Amino acid sequence: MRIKRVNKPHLGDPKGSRHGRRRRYCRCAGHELLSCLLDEAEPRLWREFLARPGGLNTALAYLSSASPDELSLPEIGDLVAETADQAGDRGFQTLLSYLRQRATFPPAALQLLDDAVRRGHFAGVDRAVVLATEWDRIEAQSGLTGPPAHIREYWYGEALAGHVTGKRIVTVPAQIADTAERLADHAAAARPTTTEIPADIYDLYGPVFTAIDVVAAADIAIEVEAMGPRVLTEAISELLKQLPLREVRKRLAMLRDWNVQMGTSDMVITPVLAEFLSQAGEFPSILAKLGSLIDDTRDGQFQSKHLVQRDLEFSKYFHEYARLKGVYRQLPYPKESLGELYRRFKKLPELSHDGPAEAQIGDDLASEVRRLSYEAIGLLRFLRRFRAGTSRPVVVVGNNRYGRQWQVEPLEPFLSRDFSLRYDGVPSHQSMRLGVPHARNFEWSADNTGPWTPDAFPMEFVRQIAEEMPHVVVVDSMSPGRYSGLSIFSRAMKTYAHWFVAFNDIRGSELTADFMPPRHLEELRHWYEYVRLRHQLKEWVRPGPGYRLGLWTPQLTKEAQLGELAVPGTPAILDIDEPQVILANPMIYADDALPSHLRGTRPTSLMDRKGSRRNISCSDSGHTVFNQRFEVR
Amino acid sequence: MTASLVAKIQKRITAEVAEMVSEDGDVALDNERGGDA
Repeated sequence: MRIKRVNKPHLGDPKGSRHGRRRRYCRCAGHELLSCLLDEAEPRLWREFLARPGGLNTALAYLSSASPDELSLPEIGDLVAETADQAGDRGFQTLLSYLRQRATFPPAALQLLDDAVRRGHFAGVDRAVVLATEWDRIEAQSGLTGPPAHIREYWYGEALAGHVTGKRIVTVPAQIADTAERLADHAAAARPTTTEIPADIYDLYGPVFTAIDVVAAADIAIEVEAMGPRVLTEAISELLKQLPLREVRKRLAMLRDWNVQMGTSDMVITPVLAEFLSQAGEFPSILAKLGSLIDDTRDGQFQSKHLVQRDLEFSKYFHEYARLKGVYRQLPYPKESLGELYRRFKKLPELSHDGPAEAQIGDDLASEVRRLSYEAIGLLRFLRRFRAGTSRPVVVVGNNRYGRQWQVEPLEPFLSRDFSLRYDGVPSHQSMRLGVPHARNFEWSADNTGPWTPDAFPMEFVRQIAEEMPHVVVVDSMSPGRYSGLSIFSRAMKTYAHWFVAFNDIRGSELTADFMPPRHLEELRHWYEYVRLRHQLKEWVRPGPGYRLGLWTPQLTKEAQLGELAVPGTPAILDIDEPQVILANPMIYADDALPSHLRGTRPTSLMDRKGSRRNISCSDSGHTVFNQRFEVR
Repeated sequence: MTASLVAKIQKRITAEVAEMVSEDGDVALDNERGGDA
């Protein structure tokens, strides 16, 4: 469907207003020029220029198109005289064409071009004039101005430097105009319900228009918006600097699959990462290096000076920044692009590094750690038993933080062979009874969704589970504060369950009908977050089989507490191949069910300690410390 | 708690689990604490 022009980002302003140029007709020009011809006090070379065929006409054309703040006639005279003095006749034709176009160049380019003329660099100036002429022609045909000054300045600079030459100079303005039109159509189609799209397509996709290959850069921008990974627009040109389009596409496709395996689908490709990913060599070995940097960070060996390692943390910053804005009621939610957030990220103040003395496990911690190990092995036993009874793949989701940090990540060496591992972050705090997560695949998803809606299960993973239907085991625990003898599961677990209810709805499956109270499900289906998730899933999921939901905990009771809800204690089923989602809480709540040496321990207290989050923690000032080295403001 | 301490705790858990796995022999089919799963 063709989107109405009124909904599209602007391609430009009415011609003549973008640079604030005021065209005027200089009534006195003829008189002044004639005076120059006759006045012997004027530079001789200037007078000779005016006397030659085309000279006077060119000077008149310049005066009639120049605004009052551009060079005056005597200054132009000096420019001409200086050039002729340096280069003689050689620069005459260039001066003619340059002065005719001079008023159309943006101010920053003028300085460069005037200098180039004075220095006799006529080839570069000729190329810039060709560019300007082509832009004029396109503007005259379309009635709209072309790209803004900074993009033109960039290309004039490239023309002067000889980076763009020959036939390509003529094609660049047309490629930019066509690409702007194409991206405007794409942006309008990709955001049909978004009312506040950026005002100008050149603002939204700016770096695409200064890429080494504008058309290829637009191809990549459109592809990654549809399929991921997230790529900052300025990083696209970095990729194309080193690699041809075909290789860039191949590597991005491999990166998408790799991110799914690594649980890093929220990675944002910044210019630094783009440079890293486009280095020469076999791409699998480049990915292996990237993986080891991620592992180093997870192992507490984060080095803020390592630019790649630092930029790998940007996706966390992006999520936390959005969340903090909501927490501190700094509303309305800031509609900043990923590029703007990246600029903030690069300016984060660096905190002092942890001293080695801090990284000691004292006696008080040692018993809590033994308790965590004891519960982790219970989880490992269950997962291995479950694995042994099914031929279907199993994905284990460690919920950030507790489930990820203390339960799944420590078991990675035991799980990585037989299970796929991923980590999503659905918080229990700030959640409410009907909370439903939503995949923020792009920055405008965040703008629409609001910081209070958890971000989980990105598009790549949703498509994977829709096709393969692996078993999914979500692992998390809950503080024993509300333990009343029933098995308890966190509010985050309930939020995941809501996600699978919506998934089953799209699939046309009734398998979750008995998992939660019918009245709750009825209310949930009318909740706006649920409706929005359904809308999102409809794009990615076709009707088909659904998931059965079950619970696992070392002591599952007949009734269970799932967040605020009392639900039947539906057990996970072993030895079946039908796709199953299992909400697993390995924590043992009854003290007498623990070995005597572990009684009285309370591992959830690790999360209560000041700054206990691994990558993100609250400092005394109320700001968030990001990966212990940056502070989010 | 610092990032390096968290990493240290995780490594300690991994080591303790490895020790228990080797003591248990094969824990694959042992579900003694598996509730009604």
